[in-house]
Amino acid sequence: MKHVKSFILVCGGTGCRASESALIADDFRNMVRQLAIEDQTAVISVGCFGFCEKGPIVKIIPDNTFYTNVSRADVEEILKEHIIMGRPVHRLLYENPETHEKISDSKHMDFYRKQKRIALRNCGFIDPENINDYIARRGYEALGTVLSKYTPAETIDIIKRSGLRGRGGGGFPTGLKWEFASKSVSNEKYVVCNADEGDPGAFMDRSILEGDPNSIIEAMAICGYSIGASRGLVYIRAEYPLAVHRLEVAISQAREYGLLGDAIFGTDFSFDIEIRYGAGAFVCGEETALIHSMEGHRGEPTVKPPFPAVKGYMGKPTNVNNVETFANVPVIILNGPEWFSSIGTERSKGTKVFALAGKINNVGLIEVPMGTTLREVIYEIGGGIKNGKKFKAVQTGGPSGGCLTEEHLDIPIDFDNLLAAGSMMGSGGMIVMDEDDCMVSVAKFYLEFIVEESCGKCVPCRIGNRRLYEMLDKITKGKGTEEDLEYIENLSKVIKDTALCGLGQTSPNPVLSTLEHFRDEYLAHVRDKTCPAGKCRALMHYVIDPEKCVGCTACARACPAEAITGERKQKHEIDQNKCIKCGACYEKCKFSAINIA
Amino acid sequence: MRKLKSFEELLTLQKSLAGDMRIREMSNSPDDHIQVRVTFTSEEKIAEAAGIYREISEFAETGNMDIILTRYFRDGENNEKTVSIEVKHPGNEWKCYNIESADEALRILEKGGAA
Amino acid sequence: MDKKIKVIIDNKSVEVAPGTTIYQAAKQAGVDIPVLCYMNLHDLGVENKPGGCRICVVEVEGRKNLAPSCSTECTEGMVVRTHSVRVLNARKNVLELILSDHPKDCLLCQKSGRCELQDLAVRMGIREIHAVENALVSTYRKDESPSIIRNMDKCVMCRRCETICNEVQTVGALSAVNRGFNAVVATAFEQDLKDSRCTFCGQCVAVCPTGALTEVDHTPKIINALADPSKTVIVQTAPAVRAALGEEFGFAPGTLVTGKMVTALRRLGFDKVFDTDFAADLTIMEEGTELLKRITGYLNGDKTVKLPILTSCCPAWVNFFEWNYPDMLDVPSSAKSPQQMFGALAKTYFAKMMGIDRKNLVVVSVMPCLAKKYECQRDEFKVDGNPDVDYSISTRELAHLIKLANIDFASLPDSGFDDPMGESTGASVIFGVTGGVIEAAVRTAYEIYTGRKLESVDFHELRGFEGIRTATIDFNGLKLNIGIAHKLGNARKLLDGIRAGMYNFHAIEIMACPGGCIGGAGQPLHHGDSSIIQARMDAIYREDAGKKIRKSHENPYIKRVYGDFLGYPMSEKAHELLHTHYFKKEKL
Repeated sequence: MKHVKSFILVCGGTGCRASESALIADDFRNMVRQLAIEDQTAVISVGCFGFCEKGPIVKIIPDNTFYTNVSRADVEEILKEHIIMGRPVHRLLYENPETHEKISDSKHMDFYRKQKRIALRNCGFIDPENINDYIARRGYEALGTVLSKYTPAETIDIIKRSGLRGRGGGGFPTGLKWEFASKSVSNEKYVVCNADEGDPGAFMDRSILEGDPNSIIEAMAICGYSIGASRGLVYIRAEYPLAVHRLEVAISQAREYGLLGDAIFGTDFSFDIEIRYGAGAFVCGEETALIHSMEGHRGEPTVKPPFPAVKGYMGKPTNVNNVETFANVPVIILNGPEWFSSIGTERSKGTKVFALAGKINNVGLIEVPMGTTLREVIYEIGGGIKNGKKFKAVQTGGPSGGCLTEEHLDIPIDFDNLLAAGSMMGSGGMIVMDEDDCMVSVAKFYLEFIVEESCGKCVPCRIGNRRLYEMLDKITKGKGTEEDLEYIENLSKVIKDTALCGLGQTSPNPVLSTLEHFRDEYLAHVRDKTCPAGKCRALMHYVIDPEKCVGCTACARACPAEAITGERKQKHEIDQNKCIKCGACYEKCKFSAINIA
Repeated sequence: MRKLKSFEELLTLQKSLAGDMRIREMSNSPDDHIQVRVTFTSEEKIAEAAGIYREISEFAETGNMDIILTRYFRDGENNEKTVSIEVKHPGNEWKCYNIESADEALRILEKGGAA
Repeated sequence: MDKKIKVIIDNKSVEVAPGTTIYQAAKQAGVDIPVLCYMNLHDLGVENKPGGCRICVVEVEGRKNLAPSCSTECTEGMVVRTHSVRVLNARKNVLELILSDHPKDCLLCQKSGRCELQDLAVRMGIREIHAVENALVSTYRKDESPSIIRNMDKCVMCRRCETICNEVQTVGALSAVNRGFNAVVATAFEQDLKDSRCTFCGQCVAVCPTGALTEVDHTPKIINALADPSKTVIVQTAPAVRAALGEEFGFAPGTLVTGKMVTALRRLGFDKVFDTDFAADLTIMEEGTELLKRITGYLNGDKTVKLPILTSCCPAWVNFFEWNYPDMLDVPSSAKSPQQMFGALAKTYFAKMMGIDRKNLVVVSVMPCLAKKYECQRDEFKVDGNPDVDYSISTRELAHLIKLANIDFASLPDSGFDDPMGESTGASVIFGVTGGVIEAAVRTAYEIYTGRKLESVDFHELRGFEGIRTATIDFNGLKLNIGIAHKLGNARKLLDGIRAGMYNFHAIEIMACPGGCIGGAGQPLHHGDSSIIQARMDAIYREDAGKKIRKSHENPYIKRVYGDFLGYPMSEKAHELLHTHYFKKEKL
C-alpha cells in the first residue's frame, strides 16, 4: 500500500450520520478519485468526535483542521482548497462564541482543551469497521500481554490497583467484582457487557461501540481470562442498529484473526462473544434484570444476594460490566495501574464520559478526569448557558440522579462527591437547566419517566412513584398544600428505603434533591400558587399593563376564549375566569403590554 | 486475514500497520515531531509545490523518517512567486528556506533530519 | 453440619442454620413479621419470594436501606429490628400504597374475611389512605372461565399465581405483563383464560391472597335446583372433601367430618347423598383391568400396546397432557374420572332404577377441585346436551351453602351415605392423596393378577410428599415399576423422560395439585401453611385404615353394578359409559 499522507476523518457516529455524514464520506471518496489524489489522501469514517452540537464533523490530518457543520456541498471546496491548495476553508472552522476567533485545531478549542480521552481514545480516530486500525493502535496487545505475562489473579490485581470503578452507575470497584466472579467455582462462567444504555440523553456507550468496538471485545476477553469464563455476551439495545452493526463487524473480524475463538494466541484460553438484543427497557440496565432478560424471562430485578458473581446468567457465575468500564481495561493493562490511578481523585480514578445536554452551548459527549469541577464542565467545556441565560441547576446521574445548584459548581466530580451532594454519577448524563426551568416540573418530568420504566415488581416503585407523580402534578396545577410537601418527602424516603433494586431506590432523587435545594420554588407553587419560572401553565396569569396598552384590539381578536374585553383605543382587560392561558394574546401584542404574572 | 497464532504474530502485524496510524498519532502532538510545510505564494506554483510535496513524502517514506508534512498556501504574504519549505524541529522555532528545486528541499531535510 | 449463625432480632438472640432468612429466624425468636407476597409450602416444595411487596422489610444494623426479611439471609452477628419507627413508617406507607391501588369494595368481595390484604390492613391499623384526589386506580377487563374468575383490579402483584403456574405447574398461562403502574399478571396477549393453555388446576386461586383470582360460584344454581319440585337432585362428594370441610367450621385441620357432611347435605335437601368414592372403586375396576390387560399384552409381545399406563382421574392433568403431549394421547388410561363415572352411572343406571328421565335428574358433585367445573362441562360428557354431572362445587362453596341454610355444622349428628352409590372402600378414600390412586389400583390388580390375597394393603413406599416417587412392586415375580408425580411440573419431567425413552415404568399416577386432591384448589385456603395439607393427608389414611373393606373389587355394590348393569370390567357397556378419549388441544 502506498504510504498515505493526508487523512480526511469523517464522523460516522449516529448523530452526524443523521446529518448525512455517511453520504459526505462517500462524496469525499468519489471526489478524491476524480481528482486523482488517492495516493496522497485517504478518507476514513471514524467514530464520534463528541462535539455533536456542531456536526457533521470532518477532521483533516495531519494538520488537525477541525471542520464543523459540514454539508455535502462543502466536499469539493475542502478537497480543492484545503487538500490541494493548502488553504483551510475558513468559514467551516469553529468560532469561539465569545471572542469570535476562528479556531482551526480542535486541541485549542475550549470544548476539547480540558478533556482527557481514555475510554474515547479511539473514537474519532480510527475506522471502527477495520480491525487493523485498532491493532495499529496497540489493539489486542493488552490481551496478548495478559495471556503471556500474567496469571488471572495478577490481571485482577492490576485492575484492582488501578482503582477502576464501574461506569454504569453504581461505581462498584471493577477489580473486586472480577475477583468475586473468579472465586466462584463453576464449570461455566459468563462475561456480560451491559450495553443497555437507558438514561434519556446518554449515549456514551453507543459512541464507544460505534467508534471503538474492538476495545470492548478485547476487554471482555481479558475479563474472561481473569474470571475463568469462555463465553461473553453483549446485551445491547436493539435501537442501536449502527452500534450493533459495528460490533458484529468487529466480532467477525476478531474471529478471523483468531482473537476470538479457540486457543487465542496459541494459548489454552478460548473465548467468544454473542450479541443479545434488549428491547430498550430502562430497568434492564440493572444487572439482575438484564440477566433475566437475556435468559428470555421478564426483565425485572431479583433480590441480591445472590449476586451475579455467584448465580448469574443461566444460574452460572457471571460478571457484568458496562461498556465504558470495559473500554478502560486495555489501556490500564498497557499503561499500568499506576498510570491510571494517577488520574482522578482519591477514591475515583481515571476519567468519566458525560453526555452534556440541556440549556448549554456545547451539547455533546465529553471525557474529563475525575475531579474536574462542574463549573469547568459547564462553563469551559460546555461553553456556558445558552442565550446568555442564568444557570439554575444541573441534573446528573440520569432520571434517578439529583439536581445540583450553583453552590455545587465547584465540587470536583467523582462518585462520592456527587452522592454526598444528593445526586449521583449514574452513567454520565448531565442536563443543564437555566432560569426558565421550573424545578417542580423537572422533578415531575423525571418521575414520569420512572413511572413508565419501572418494571412494576415492587410496590414502592410501581405505586409509590405513581403517587409521587400525582402529587407533583397536583402542585404544578396549583392545588398542592404544604402538607403535601411533607407527604412527598416522607414517601420519597420510604421509596428509597424499601424499593427492591437500584432503580427504585434512587427514583425519588430528583424529587428529594429539588425539594432540598429549591424548596422556595415548591413553596411558591403551594403557598402563593405561582410558578417562579413561568412554566406551569395552570399557575400563570396574563395581565394587560394599562400603561402600555394602546387599545389596538389585536389581543382580543386573538383570544379563543373571548376573555379579553375593551373598546378600540381603550385599555383592554383579561377576565381571569375565562382565560385558558394559551398565550395567544401574549404572542400577538406588539406593544409588550401583556405580562405574565 | 489469517489467524494470529501467537502474541508475536500480533506484534509483527501491529508493526506493519503502524505507518498509517503513525501520521494520525503524530498529528495529535505535532510539536513533538519534525513538521515540514511546503509553502507557496502563488496559484501558478501549485504544480511545482505539489511535485515537491510528493518527493518529500517519498523521501521520508524510503528514509523511514517521521515527519508531519503539509502544504500551505501563504496568500498575499509575498509578492515573489516562490516555493519554500518551512521546517520545525521539536523545541525549536519554524525555519523557512526558499528553494529552487525538490533536490534542494531534500538536501535541507537531510541536513535538518540529521541535525 | 455447618456452624450455626447467631442473630439478634428485636433484642432476642437466636441461633439459626446458615441459609436461614431473617423471616424464618424471627419465627424462631417468636417474632411474627407480616408478609404479603411471600408464601412457602416448604413440605411441598412450593415457594414464592419475589421480594416485591416490601411489607416484610426490617431494619438491619449497618445496612443502608431496609431489608426484605423473606429473602434476606441471616449473617453472623446480624442485629435486626422489625418494628422500629422507621420500619413501621415504611411498612405502613407501603401498605397504604397497595391499598391506594386496590378497590375498596371489601364488603362485596368473595374473599372478604379471608383476604390476606384485608387482614394486613386490620393488623397495621390503616385508617386512611394518603393519595391525591382521583389518584389513578388500575382497572382491567374481568375474565370468567368455566372454573376461574380473574378480577385483576384486585391483583397486588404478589406473583404467587405466576410462580405456581410457571414454576410449580409449568403450565405457563399466567405471567406478569406491562411495566410500571400498569404491570399486572395476565395471560399471553391478555386473551381469556379459557383460550389460554390454562388447565384450570386452580392453584392460582388457592394461593391468591386477595380477590383477584376466585372460583366460579355454582351455588345459586344448586339452590334453585333444590327448590324445583320437578327435579331429583343427588350429590356426590369426593374423598378429599371430608378431610377438609371441617376447617371452614372451626375444626382443626385433619378432622374427618364425613358423617356431619352427609347429614348437612341431606338437610340441604339433596334427594340422595352419594359418594364419589363409590365411583372411585369403579375406576379401579376399569383402570386396574386396563392396566393388567396392557401389561399382559406387552409381556406377550404385542407391539401395539403402549406402556406405561397413566392415571386419568385428574381433570387438570388431562388438560395438561392434551395441551402439551398431543402425541401421547394413547398413553393415559381411557377410564373416566370418578366424578364422570359417577355421573354417567347416575344418569343411566340410577335414573333407570328410579324411573326418572335424565333431564329431571340433577347431579351435583362436591369436589376439592376447580378443574372439575370445567370437566363436567366437556362436550363428550353430555348426552343430547344434558351433562352427566350438572354442577360441580368446591369444598368452600359447600361450606357456604351450609352456612346459607343456617345449619349449625358443629352440632350435626353423623349419618351415612345412601345406597346404592354410597358404599365405598378404603382404596377409594385414598384417591384424595398423591399416590393413593396407584395404591388402590395395586391392591386390586395384585389380587386379580396373582390370584392371591394381599397380606398387607398398606404400601408405604407409594406414600409421601416427595414430588416424584418411584417404587417397584413385586406381583409374584412380575416386577411392576411404578411412578408417582404430583404438581404438573413433576408430571412434565416424567412425561418428557418417557417421551425420550428414559424410563421403564409400567404405571404412573399423576395429580396436578400439591399433595393431591387434599391440596386441591377448591379446598379451604391454606394461606401458605403446609401443615394443614399434611393433616388432611393423615386424615385420609386414617379413614382408609378404619374401613372394613379396603380393596375396590371387594365392594359389594360394585359387584352388584357389574352384575346388574355393566357386565364385567371393560365390557362394551362399561366402555360406552365409563371410558373416554382425549383431544389434541391447539397451541396458540
